[in-house]
Amino acid sequence: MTTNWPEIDKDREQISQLNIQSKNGQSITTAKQEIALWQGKVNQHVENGLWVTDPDGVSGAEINKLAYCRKWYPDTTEVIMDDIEYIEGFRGRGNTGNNAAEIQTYKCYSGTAINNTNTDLTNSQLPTNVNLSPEQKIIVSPKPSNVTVALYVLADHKKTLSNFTTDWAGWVEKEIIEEWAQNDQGSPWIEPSSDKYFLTKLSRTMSYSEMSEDLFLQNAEDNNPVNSWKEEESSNKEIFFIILMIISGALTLGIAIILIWQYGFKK
Amino acid sequence: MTEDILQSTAKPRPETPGNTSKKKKVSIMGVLFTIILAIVLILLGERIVFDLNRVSNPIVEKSVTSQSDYSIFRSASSLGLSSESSGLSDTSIYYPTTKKGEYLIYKLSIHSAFIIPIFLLTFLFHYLFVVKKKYPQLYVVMYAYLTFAFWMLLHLLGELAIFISNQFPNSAIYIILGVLVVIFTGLAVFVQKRIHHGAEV
Repeated sequence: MTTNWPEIDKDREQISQLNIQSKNGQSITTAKQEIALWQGKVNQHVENGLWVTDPDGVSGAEINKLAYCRKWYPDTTEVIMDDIEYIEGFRGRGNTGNNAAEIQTYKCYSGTAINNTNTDLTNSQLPTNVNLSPEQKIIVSPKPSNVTVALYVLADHKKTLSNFTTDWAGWVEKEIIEEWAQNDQGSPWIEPSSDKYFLTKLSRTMSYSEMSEDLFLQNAEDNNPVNSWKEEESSNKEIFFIILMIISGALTLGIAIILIWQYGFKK
Repeated sequence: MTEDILQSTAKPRPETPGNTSKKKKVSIMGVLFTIILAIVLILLGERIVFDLNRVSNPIVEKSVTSQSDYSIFRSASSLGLSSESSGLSDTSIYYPTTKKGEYLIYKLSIHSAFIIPIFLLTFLFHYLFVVKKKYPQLYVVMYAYLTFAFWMLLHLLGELAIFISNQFPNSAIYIILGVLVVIFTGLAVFVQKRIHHGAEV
């Protein structure tokens, strides 16, 4: 069955279960190919639509995600962070025990990847003809009048944008940024030069007609975190740590002197 | 009737200064309260070292009091954070997994900053109250404090062993066993010295 683009309805979930072949032969592998990593537990991957543990019983969350995707899906070229799923059957070292939790999953893409599951596919990105078997169909929903735009800004300062809401703001370490995504060489997609950056997530629901003007980011008045993990600047803790060390050192020295004086000299 | 020569000739054994000094009146209730005190001190000490690490470890990014909040857990997992909790607190602390080594160094330093002065202070009090007998009524209580001090020291040694095995997995066994050899040699020599000293008296 050959279906022309204008007749197609879009449904992201259905698309994700299909293997689409475009006119020019470029393939988009969208069958469910995912991995899930949980610190301290054996990794999981999808096999025949089900989450299964790694039979080696040792592969953990520290492993390179692209290399791990290729272990199960050799054609993988890109790893993209997906949604959070409730997964049962996470096992400990040696595939012992049984644990369940809501875990971040990663999609393993091969061929031309759809970079974001929320991407609004435009005509230029989709093939004009899609070859489908009789039991397969793609549903395309009508174009929405309003869309939510989310901007993630990595900078050395918190940013603001008029009419946008700050959903999240906080310092992010270099190591975490490097872990976010990897290219097909297995290297970090973003290679930061500084030790940490300020990440600001700005969002706004707007109509297509409002998207005609440029956006100009400005520095925020402060660098206070918003919904961030970090409760306070680590410098405060560093000061407390130094004070603790000074007090402890002075106490240790004082007690040691008294002990020597009492035990040594008096003897 | 024969005379019991044992009763007529035997004299009671004269009390030596050594004998009298070793006999100390200790009540059962005193011992019981001392045991309870030791347990309470250990629990208090464990909680203090956990909280000190929570508030002064620069690597710690967040303290969470509720374990049942799944949204917090999943955020931590996706951000590459590891957690640590205490049986004496419903608070968990989160730190970046990539900085585990640095976190352990800070934790070890903070715990040492509390445990080492406490150990030395207890040793000083033991010397003053037990050895010098300045306050005989504190004799029993000092054993609770000594138990607490040694428990905390063992806690610190255990953490040191975990740190070494994490950071230097190949040479860990040599370092840990080496440290144990030094400690137990010192303790054995110290105990033997005290026995010799007691025998001479």
